[in-house]
Amino acid sequence: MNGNFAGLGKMLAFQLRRSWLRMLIWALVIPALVMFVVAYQQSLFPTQADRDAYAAIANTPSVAALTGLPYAAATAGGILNIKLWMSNAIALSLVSIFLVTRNRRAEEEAGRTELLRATALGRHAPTVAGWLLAAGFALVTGLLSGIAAILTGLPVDGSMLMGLSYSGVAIAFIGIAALTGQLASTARAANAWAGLALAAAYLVRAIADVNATGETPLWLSWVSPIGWGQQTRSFGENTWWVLLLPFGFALACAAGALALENRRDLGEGIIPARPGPSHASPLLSTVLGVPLRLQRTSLIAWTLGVAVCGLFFGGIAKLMEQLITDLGSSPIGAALTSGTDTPVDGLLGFLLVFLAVLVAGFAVESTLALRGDEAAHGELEWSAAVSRWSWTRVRIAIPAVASALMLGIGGLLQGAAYGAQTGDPGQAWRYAVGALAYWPAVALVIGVTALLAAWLPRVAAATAWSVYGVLVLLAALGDVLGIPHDVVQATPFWAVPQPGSPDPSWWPVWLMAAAAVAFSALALVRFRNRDLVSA
Amino acid sequence: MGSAIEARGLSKRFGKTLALDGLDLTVPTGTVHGFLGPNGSGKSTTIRVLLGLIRANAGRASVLGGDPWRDAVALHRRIAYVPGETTLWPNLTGGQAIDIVGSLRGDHDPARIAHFVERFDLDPSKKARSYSKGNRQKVALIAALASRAELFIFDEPTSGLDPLMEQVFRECVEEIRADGRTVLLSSHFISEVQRLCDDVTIIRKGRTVEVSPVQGEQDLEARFLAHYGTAELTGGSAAGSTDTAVGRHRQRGGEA
Repeated sequence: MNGNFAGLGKMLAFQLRRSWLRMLIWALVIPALVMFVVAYQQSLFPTQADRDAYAAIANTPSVAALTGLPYAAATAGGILNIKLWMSNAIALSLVSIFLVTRNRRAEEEAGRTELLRATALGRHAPTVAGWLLAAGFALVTGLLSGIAAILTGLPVDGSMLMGLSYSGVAIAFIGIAALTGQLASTARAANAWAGLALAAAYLVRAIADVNATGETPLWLSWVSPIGWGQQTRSFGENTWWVLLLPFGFALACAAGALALENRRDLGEGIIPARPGPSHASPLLSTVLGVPLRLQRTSLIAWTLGVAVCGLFFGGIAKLMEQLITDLGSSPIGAALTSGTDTPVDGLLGFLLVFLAVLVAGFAVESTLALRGDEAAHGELEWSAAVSRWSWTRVRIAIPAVASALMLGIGGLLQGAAYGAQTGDPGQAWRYAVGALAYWPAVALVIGVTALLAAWLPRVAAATAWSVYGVLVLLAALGDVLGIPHDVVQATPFWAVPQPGSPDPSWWPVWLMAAAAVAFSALALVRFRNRDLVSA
Repeated sequence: MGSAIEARGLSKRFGKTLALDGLDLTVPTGTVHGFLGPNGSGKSTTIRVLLGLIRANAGRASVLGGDPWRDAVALHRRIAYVPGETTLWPNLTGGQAIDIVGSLRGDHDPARIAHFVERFDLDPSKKARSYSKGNRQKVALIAALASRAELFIFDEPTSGLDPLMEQVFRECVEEIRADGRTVLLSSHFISEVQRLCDDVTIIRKGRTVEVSPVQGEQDLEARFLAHYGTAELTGGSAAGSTDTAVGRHRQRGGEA
């Protein structure tokens, strides 16, 4: 063990310098969301009587499935957790996963770790520095979130436990990312595997929360790191000892990851990359074939993800029917059902928005291949007998066509899962069409991303994801944050008429379609005329 | 004088590929040693084993009297390395990258760095993403040359450099030799090895095929080509004939 950790401090300082801005932004955004949500919920439910009334109807299967089983719903802290806990815990976990991968596997993949490890830098120093940095970030963000809650007047113990439960969930996933960073040989795979673990943890706890007895979820909740965070029950029983689970889990993962790192060569994953064919297939030798092959895994993964979501949404809809009927004309009921005649229709329409947001995430990733491919091998491809026109066109066509397919599949499965329970197979078709109505909105996202790749290549990825982040924030939390309803309704995903809405207005959809075509055309023209911008 | 590098029977397997197949390498202290072999013959793999970045499946290696895997950190304070392909942090400048490598090695010396930045005519204030391959190579070279290391390991150090900078690099290697420090220079440029090195180890398919002084009776290029067959390097324009030549050699090697 001769100096395996030598240079740890220097690596920590170096990684902090490379990542401070993204950490700072999230360390401020997450606590800020806490303050906003508390303030807005206090304006919605100013008196204890209001909160008691809310508590009587808070426990719906949709809330239980999507944001966690409500408890202590008659307190301001309990309401905060119902509205925000899941979003913040998942956001912090994702950012932490990306942070671990960025500072470790991505550096190794790029070959920069080789340069540094040839100096007096211990084998584990860059790895452990990355974990410590991410864990420190998760802890600070959690503590700041707790302080933010205290500042709004919530109880100190509940607030701090809530903040630390964000940290706990994130730290559990730092442990998982530490493992995937050793197992995978690419940053993409390391992120994807850890992200899959997060999705699995979410689904496991969703099943546990939907099958709850009163306020106690199914035992399955204890299998999920997200479940551990929920079981701290901040503002309720305040079960502090549960925090030991994620921290202990992360330590165990870290020990495992160090053992793996001791055994492997630099640059390799424990699961080795398999050799591929020596020759390109006829499809791969075409302008369309290259990006299709490069995005193959991503296309399959997103399609599966969307399919699972559609099935899940459709599957839980029937469960909610009774409870939504009970909600009646309460403001929550109205928000959930968008004022449609049949409540479940409204709810499924609401869920279609999330399906569309998910597909838009794919669209951003896929369209950014315009930038990624240009930087990585644009020189090679553009110098071949390939017109930039067709090179660009296929990279816009892939997300456009694939997102239509995904919307169709997601909607179809959502409708089919719902229809299977009500004995009405016609629902499948109906929701497939309903989901496809979001195609122009997704196409608009593609158009904007393509435009960014064409005009602002260097910052295209960061800007496109920021735009998407704002859209998600508006779609998911717009109403919770108290943004005026008209503003939320004017954002792309809410402007689309939902199935069964009483008075659909289709002009925003046509407008978005026209804008998508115009933006894509502008992007094409720019790609044709501008200089190559390499990495 | 002992050996700065002493490797015996190194083997390394990557999946089904045998990258090193019992390779021997001895570099006496204070010499400039050439390490010749075509692409894919195992030069970089050997160097990574010697740096403790990867672990050999079989064989022994000792670098500056230590075990490259176990004593990696202690040894790396005394070694400067220039990788064959240098990747830098796109949004940091070349100057920052040089400082990072120097301070992590533990002998960061701004005056020496400034001296070599001058000699290699590098603009250290540019972001690494805007550097050409040659300029990235200069960054790695400066970071290594500015060190007080006892052993320098260069993996194809001049790839991408212009002839003027190649000349500067050669002068630097002469100075290292004059200081009594040791150099392992991996290359596939026969002329470079011929000009700079005292001795040369020629490898083929992960195995040492010749160790000899550079100034031998026979011209180095002729000796090198003899191990590969001229058909492989000069005669065969079609891929097929190269394959045949390699195949013939594999058979011959098996009998020997």
